[in-house]
Amino acid sequence: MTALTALRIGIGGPVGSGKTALVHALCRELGSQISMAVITNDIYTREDADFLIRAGSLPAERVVGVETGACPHSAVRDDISINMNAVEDLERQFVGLQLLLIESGGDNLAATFSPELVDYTIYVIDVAGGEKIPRKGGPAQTYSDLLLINKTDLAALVGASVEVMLREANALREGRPVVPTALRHGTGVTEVCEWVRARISDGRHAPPERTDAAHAHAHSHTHVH
Amino acid sequence: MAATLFDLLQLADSSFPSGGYAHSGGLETLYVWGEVDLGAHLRFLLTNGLAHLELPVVREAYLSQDEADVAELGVLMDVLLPVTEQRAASRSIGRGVLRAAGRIRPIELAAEHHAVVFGVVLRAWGLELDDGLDVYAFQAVRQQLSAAQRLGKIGQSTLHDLLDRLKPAMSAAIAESWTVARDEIGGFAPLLDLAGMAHAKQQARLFLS
Repeated sequence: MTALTALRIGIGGPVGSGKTALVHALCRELGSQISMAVITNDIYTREDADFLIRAGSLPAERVVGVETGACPHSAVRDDISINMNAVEDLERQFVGLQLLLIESGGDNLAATFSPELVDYTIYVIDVAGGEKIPRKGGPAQTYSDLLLINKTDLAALVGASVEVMLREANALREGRPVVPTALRHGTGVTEVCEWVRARISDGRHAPPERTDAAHAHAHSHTHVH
Repeated sequence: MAATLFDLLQLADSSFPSGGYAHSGGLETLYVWGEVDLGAHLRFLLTNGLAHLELPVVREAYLSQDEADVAELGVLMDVLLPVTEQRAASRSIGRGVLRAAGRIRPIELAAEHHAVVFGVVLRAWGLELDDGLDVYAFQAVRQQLSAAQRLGKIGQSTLHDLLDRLKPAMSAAIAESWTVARDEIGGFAPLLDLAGMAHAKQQARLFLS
């Protein structure tokens, strides 16, 4: 039987908001300290996985790319089977894995992760997407465990106010944390890493059904060839 | 507890998590290569891959006597699916079905291929083999039509027109599958095999296969 030990964090957000940049930054900062791996969900290509491998974020065998065959939320919310296959394979390959980042393909504001797939979610929006994004709400922006407002360095160029976005995001989220970042320049990476380390310390908060006998039993037998 | 229609409906439900939606079985490549007569393509799938390979394997898995028997069917699937992506797809979907079905009712099973898993799950759930073969054939056709819809080749009405028109072909494939003895199991679809192989090298792909 392969125990699923790694804390699983889902990373979502619109296309181009900085999800892959976040994964890259987390891998660079944490990859040498803890055992981690990445699953990327792309609609049409392995672009994100290939980028992470080329950039040397993690060794290639720790980065798995899946094409989703549909809008990304299908694979991270509606039917998580192909991601769970990848989770099981990585856990089997890297016994004692501590952290698994599962990056969704870019999607709309309604896209969320299944609570059976991830323990926590980070949602990434960016100032270039428009100052009004936080006002548009939606479950991912509202209820994700951490919201990043990325590309703050571009605010002046696109006529957006980071202050306004932060204020409206904080009002939306009722205390859940919001961090402004410019990931490409390393701004905010330390705060996000601290948040991730704290979640690893907290441990998994898998739903109770994941630990029931039937589930564990099924897992133990899917691994036998 | 005796199986009910609800059990069959649950196993057949499109939300039953198998991950099957992520696969096109080579159809994505066929469309890249040119026009596809979807009805003819599906009739070929039914008379070839379904009638002579997958449905007989579902049947044999359902009727299997022991673990060795099931394991042999897994090896058979590996041998008879010549394309890497096809084997991976069959295993991926099978793992999904086993994970979901085994969570509801624990199943002792060391298998991954979809047809093998499906046959064993049918029996474990107390369902009739005939009903299960209907579901398997229907889902195979439905999955291809859904892939065509997501590729933007057909709309929802055409999907259901085709699904309706293919019902006799589904029944015929199931009937033919009963004539395929265990040692005769195997299909021959070189164009689909080529499409499956080419798919792995396509730069932009919606599907895993």
